[in-house]
Amino acid sequence: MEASDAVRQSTAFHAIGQRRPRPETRRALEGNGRYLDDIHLPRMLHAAFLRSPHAKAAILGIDIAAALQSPGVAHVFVGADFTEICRGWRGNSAVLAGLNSPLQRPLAVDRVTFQGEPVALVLAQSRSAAEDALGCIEVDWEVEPATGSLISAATDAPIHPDLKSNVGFQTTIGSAESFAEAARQAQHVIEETLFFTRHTGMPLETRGLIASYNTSDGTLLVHHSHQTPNEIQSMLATIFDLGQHNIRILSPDIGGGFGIKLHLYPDEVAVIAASLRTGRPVKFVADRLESFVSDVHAREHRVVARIAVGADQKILGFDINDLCGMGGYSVHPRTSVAEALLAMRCIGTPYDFPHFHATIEAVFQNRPPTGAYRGVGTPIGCAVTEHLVDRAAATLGVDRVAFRRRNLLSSDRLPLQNPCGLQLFDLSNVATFDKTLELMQYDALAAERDRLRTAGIYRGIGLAPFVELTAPGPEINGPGQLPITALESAVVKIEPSGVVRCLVGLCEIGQGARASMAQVAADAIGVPVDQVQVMTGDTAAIPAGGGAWASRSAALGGEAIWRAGRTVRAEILKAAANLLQSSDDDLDIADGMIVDRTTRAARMPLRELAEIIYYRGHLLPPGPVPQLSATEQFRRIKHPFIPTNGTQAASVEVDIETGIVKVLGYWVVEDCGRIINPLLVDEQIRGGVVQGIGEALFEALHYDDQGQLLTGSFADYLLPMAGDIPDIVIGHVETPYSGSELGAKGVGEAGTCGASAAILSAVNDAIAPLGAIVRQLPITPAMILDAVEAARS
Amino acid sequence: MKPARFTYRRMDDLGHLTAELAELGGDGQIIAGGQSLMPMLNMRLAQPAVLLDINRVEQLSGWRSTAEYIELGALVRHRTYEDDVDLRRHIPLLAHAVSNIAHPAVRNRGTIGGSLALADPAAELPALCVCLGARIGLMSVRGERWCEADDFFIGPLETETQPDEAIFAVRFPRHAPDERFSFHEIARRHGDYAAAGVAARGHLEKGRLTQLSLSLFGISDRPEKAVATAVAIVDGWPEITVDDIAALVGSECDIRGSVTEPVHYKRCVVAVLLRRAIMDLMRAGEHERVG
Repeated sequence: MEASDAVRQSTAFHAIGQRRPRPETRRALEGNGRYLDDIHLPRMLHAAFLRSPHAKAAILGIDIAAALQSPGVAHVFVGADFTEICRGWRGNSAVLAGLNSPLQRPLAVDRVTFQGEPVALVLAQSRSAAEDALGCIEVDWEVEPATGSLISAATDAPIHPDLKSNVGFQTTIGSAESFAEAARQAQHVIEETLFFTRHTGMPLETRGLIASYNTSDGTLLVHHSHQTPNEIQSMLATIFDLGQHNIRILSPDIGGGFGIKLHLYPDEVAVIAASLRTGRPVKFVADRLESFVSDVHAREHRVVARIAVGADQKILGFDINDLCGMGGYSVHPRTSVAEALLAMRCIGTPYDFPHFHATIEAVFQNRPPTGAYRGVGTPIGCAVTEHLVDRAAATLGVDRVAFRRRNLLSSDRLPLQNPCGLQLFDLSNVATFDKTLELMQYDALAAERDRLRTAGIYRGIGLAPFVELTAPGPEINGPGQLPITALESAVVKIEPSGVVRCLVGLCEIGQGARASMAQVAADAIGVPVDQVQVMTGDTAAIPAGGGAWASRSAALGGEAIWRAGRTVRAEILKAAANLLQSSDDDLDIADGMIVDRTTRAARMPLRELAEIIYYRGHLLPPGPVPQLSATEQFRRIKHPFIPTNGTQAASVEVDIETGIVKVLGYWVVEDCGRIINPLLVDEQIRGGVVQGIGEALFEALHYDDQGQLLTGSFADYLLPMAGDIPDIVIGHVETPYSGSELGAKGVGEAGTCGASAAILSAVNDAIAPLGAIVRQLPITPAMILDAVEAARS
Repeated sequence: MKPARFTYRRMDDLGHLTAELAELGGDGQIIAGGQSLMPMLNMRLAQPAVLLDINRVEQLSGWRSTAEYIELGALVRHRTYEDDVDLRRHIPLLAHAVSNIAHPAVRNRGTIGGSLALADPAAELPALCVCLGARIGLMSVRGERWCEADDFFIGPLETETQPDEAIFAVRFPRHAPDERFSFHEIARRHGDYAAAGVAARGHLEKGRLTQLSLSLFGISDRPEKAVATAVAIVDGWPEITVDDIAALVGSECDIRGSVTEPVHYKRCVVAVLLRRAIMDLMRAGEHERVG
C-alpha cells in the first residue's frame, strides 16, 4: 500500500479521469461496425436449429429425409451425429460438493429437458432456407409431465433419469447457532418471504459465431460474439480433443453481453461440431425468439429471510433460506449455483452486524439453464437485505434513513471479515449514503411525499446502499478446477511511429474497455490518448486473460496495462538518457515528448526516439538494446474480491387505483475507486440501473405448468424503454483500491446491483400508508392492487 | 425468424387490388405500414402466398370532410392524427388518443386500415371507431359496402372483411358542438397495447349526462360497446361506485386475463378508468377536454 501511494504521488494523471467517448461509438453509429453477422466467409453455410417444443420428452425417432430434400439444404445433423467427435461437458465444480449436473451434449440425444433445447441442426445456403427445412423434420416425441415450479421441483420426479432428486445442490454459509444467538438477543425477529421471477439480459446483438474448421491443417477458427475468448478456446480444446494451440478465437465488434455471452452453449458447440464434420465455415446467429428459450436465464429465487434487531436499533443478524432454480442443467463453466452463492454472501454487506446463517437449495427443473447475468446474485442479496431493513425499521417504528445510518458499516471498522466471511476494506458506505441523501435532497423529497399523501397521491422513496464483490482473484474459480483465469495480462509496446500498442486479455463488449485501457496506458507512459491503440479478442495475438465479466477489466486489466506501461516508460527514459547524455532520473515523458524533469523543457519527441531505436540503431551507444515492449501478468492474491460500494435511491409514484408505478427520480452515488473515464463509468451505471428497473417492474420469463414460456417475445417480455426511465443522477466518492497501483475497482455491474432493491423499497414506501406490502419482483400493477386489497380486508 | 416464401406484388390502384383479391381467394395478404404484419411474417405466424403492397395506391391516401362525416383513407398514417391540425379539430378523440398508439417510429408507418384489419382487442383505433360510431368501408369487385364499427370487429385478426374485400376508408360522423370526449388507457409501458382502456363520449344536458357511448378495450377479445353498462352508469351517477361499475362490466363483457393482468384486475381497473372518463365528461366548462 505504501509503495502504491508513492507511485500515485509521483504520477500526474492526465488522461485518467477524463470524460472521453469511446472511439468505437462513431463507427457503430455510422453503420461501420463489424459485428458477427457482418462477416461472410467463402463456402459458408448457415445454421438453424430445431428446438424442442416440449419441456420434457423422450425422442423416439427423428426423420430428416424430407428436410434433406428441402431447397438449399446441405446437411442435417441430429444428436447421434456428434457423440463421437464431442465428448460433452458437465456444469459442475470441484468445490461445489454434491453438484452433479448430467452430461450435456451439443444436440439432445434421447431426451429433452427444456423447451428450446436444440434437437437437430440444418445447414443451408441461407438462414431462410435452413428455417424452411426445419418445418420438414419429423420428431416422434413421447411427452412427459414437466417440472417447472421452483416449489414443487424438490419433490417432483427427477428430470434426468440418472438423478435421484431434483435437488441439485445444497449448502450452508455461517451457522444456525450464530443466528440463534442473534435471535436470543433480539427485540424483534422479522421474517419475510420474497419471490424473484426469472428474467435475463437482452444484449442488442444476440449470440452468434462462425466456426471454420480447416481440414488441411486441423485448425479451427471461430469468430465468436463472446465475453471470454480464452475460456472458450480452452473449453473447446477439451471437449473436442483439438489441442488449444489449434484453436483461434476472434472477437468481432460485440453488441453487448451482460453475462449472457459468458457460457458454453450447446447450440454453439453444435455449430463447431458441424464445421468439423463438414469442413466448411458455419454461421449461427440466434434470432430473438430462440434467444428467449436458449440464452441463460437468471434469478429465479424464493427467499425466506429473517432479520434480528435489538432494542438499541442495531441489526444483530440475518437468517436466509434461498431456493433457486437451475433449469435443465447447471451451466458450464460457472455453474448455475454461483448466483445463489453470491446472493447469500451479499446479504447485509453494507451493514455492521455480528451473526449470519444462510442455506441454499438449488433445484433442477424443466426450464432453460440459469447463469450469470450482470450483477449475478448481488441484486437478490441487496433486495432481500433492504426489504428486511425497511421492515425492521417499520417494526421498530423508527425512521428508515436513521435506522440505516445507525447500522451502516463505517470505514473506521475496516478492514474486517464480516459474518458472511467476506474481507471488507476500502469501503465508503457512510460517505456514499450521506452524499446520496444530499444529491436527492432527501428531506425536501420526503416532505413533498408526505404533503402529497394528504392529497391522495402516493409517492415513495427507496434507498439501497450496497456492496458488490468485483474482480475475483484466483481463489474464487481456481479451486473449482474450472478453465476460468483470474489473471489479467497486457503487452505494451512502442511502435516505430511512436504509437503505443497494447494487447490485452480482457474483452471489449461495448462497455468501453479498450477506450479506458488506452487512457491508462497513455498516463503510464506519458503520451496523448490518441497515440494509444488497444487490441482485444484475438487469442492468436493477445496474452491470456479472463475477458469481460465480474467487473474486472479496469481493476485487473487496467493494473496489468499500468504496470507494463511503467516498465516501458522506464526503458524509454533509460534509452533517452543514453542518447541525450543525461540521467534517466532527470528526464520525464509528457504528452509524447521526452522532457527535462525539472524545467519541463522539451528534449526529444518519443517518436524520434522510436525511429532511432528501430531504424537508426547505429546511433545508439553500445550496450543492451532498449526493450520497447513489456509484458505484465497481473495476478492478485491478497484479496479474493475487490469490494466496491455505493448507494442507490429511487422516487416513485403509485397510482393506487390502477397499480401503475411511475419512476420519478433516480440517484446513484458510486465508489468504484480510481475513475479512469467518468463518462464511461456514468453510462455503465445508468445502463445497469435501467436493467435493474426492468428487473423490478417489467422483465419476467413466465412459464405455464407444462414448462412452456408465456412471455417469449418483446411484446410480452417488457424491457424498460427510455420513456419509462427518469434522468439518473450520478455522484461519486473515490476510495482507490489499496492493493494496486492504479487503484481502480469494478463498476460494470454496479448499476444493476442496487436498482431492484431501491425500486422495491420505494414502492413499499409509497403504499405503506395503506398497510400494503409487495414481496415479489417484478412488481406488477395487479400485485399492487392485490396488496392494497389484502391490507383493506 | 425469416419469413416463409411469398410472392410480392405492388398494387397500382384500387381496381388492381380488388381484382387480385378476387383471384387469390384468401391466399393474398395486404401489406400497408407493415408494423404488425412484418413481425408476423418473420415469426411465420402469417404465411401468405402473395403479399399485396398497397402503399402506392393513391385512392387510399389522405382524408376529406363532408357535411356529415370525415373520411380517412385506409393508408392514412397514425402520424397524421398527430400532425394534421384540421384533422385533430375534426376528430378530437383520435387526436388525443394517438400518443398511446405505440411509438413515433411505428406511427410514421402504421396505418388506420392496417390497425382495423388486424383488430387487436387491445389496440386503440378499433376502440375509437366503436366509441365514435365510425363506419368501415369495404371494397371488392362486387362493389363497396359500409359496416358499422361495432359490427365489424369479431375477435383478434377476425373482422367482417370477406377474403375478396379490402378496407379502403373509414368514416367518422361529425361531432356535435357540445359533444364531450374522454380517453383513458393504462399500459405498463407507454406505447404498449392497453392492459385496459376506455373511450367515451356524451352530452351534458342540465348537468346530466346523455347519449353516453363507450368503448372498452384491452379486456376481452374485441372492443366492447358495453351499452347496458353505459345506461346503468348514467342512471346511477353520481352514487354509483367503482365496485358497482366493475360488476356491470363483469356481467356484460367476457373479460379475459393475461399472464400478468388477471380477470379481476382488468375488471377493477377498467371500472376505475370508466369512472375517470365519466368525471371528465361531467366536468363543466371543459368541452374540449379529452382525458
